[in-house]
Amino acid sequence: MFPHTSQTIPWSDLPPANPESLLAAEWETYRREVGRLLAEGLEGKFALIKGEQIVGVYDTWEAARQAGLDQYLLQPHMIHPILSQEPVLRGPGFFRSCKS
Amino acid sequence: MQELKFPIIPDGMICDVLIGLNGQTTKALISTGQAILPPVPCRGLIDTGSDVTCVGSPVLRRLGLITPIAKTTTTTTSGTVPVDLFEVSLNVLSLAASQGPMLVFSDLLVMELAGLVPKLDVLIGMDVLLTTRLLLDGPSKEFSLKF
Repeated sequence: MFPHTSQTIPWSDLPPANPESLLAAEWETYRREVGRLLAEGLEGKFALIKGEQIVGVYDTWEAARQAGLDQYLLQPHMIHPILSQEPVLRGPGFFRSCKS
Repeated sequence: MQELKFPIIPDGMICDVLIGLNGQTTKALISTGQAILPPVPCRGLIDTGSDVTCVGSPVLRRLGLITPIAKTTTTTTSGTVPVDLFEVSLNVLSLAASQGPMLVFSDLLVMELAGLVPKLDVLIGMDVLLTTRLLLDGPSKEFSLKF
C-alpha cells in the first residue's frame, strides 16, 4: 500500500512540513517521534497520528486506517509506516522541466 | 489473463480511468449514513517516470477529498520536500465498452497534482503499471495492459 522506492532518505533527514499543509502538525509529530519509535523496535508498523499525538501503533495499514476512520472519519489525521528509511518519490516525469 | 487495449493518440498513451473514494472510506461513510459521491470518469496518461499515480486536484475535490491521509517525500528543484498522499479507488477500463475487463485498485495512495494539462486528469504511475504487462505496439499505434 505505502509506496516503495529505490531512492530513500534516513529518518533523521526528514524535511519539515510546509506550515500551510493540512497534515503539518501530524508530520512534525512523526518527525519528532520516529527515532523513539524505531528504538522501541516498531519499524514496519503503522502509526496513527492526530495533531501532536501518536494515537496508536498497528501491525497493518488497513488496521491503522480503520482505527483512524472509526475515531476521526474525515477529520485530518495521518497514517504513517514507521521507517528508518523514508521513500523519496520520483515525481511525474511528464512535467519535469528541461533545460533549453 | 484479461487485456485492455487503447489506441496511441497524439496526446500519448491515454486510457480511461474511474477515480472514486477508496473502499474503507466508502464503508465508513455508509455506516454513518453519509452520502457517497460517485466515481469521476477521467483521462489517464501512462507515465513510467512517476513512482506513484497522480490525480488532479479538481478530481479529488469532486470526491470531497480535501484532507490527505499520509505524507512521504519527493524531490523538487528546491530539494527533498514532504508530499501529500490521498487514498482513492482507481479503475482502468474502456468507457466506450459497456462491458469489458477492468483493472481495479480499491485502495491506492496517490499524489495530488495541482497543475495538470487540459484534458488530462490522472498520471498512471509505476505503482499501477508494475501489476500489469504493458505492451507498446508502436507500428500499430496501440498499447495494451494485461493483468
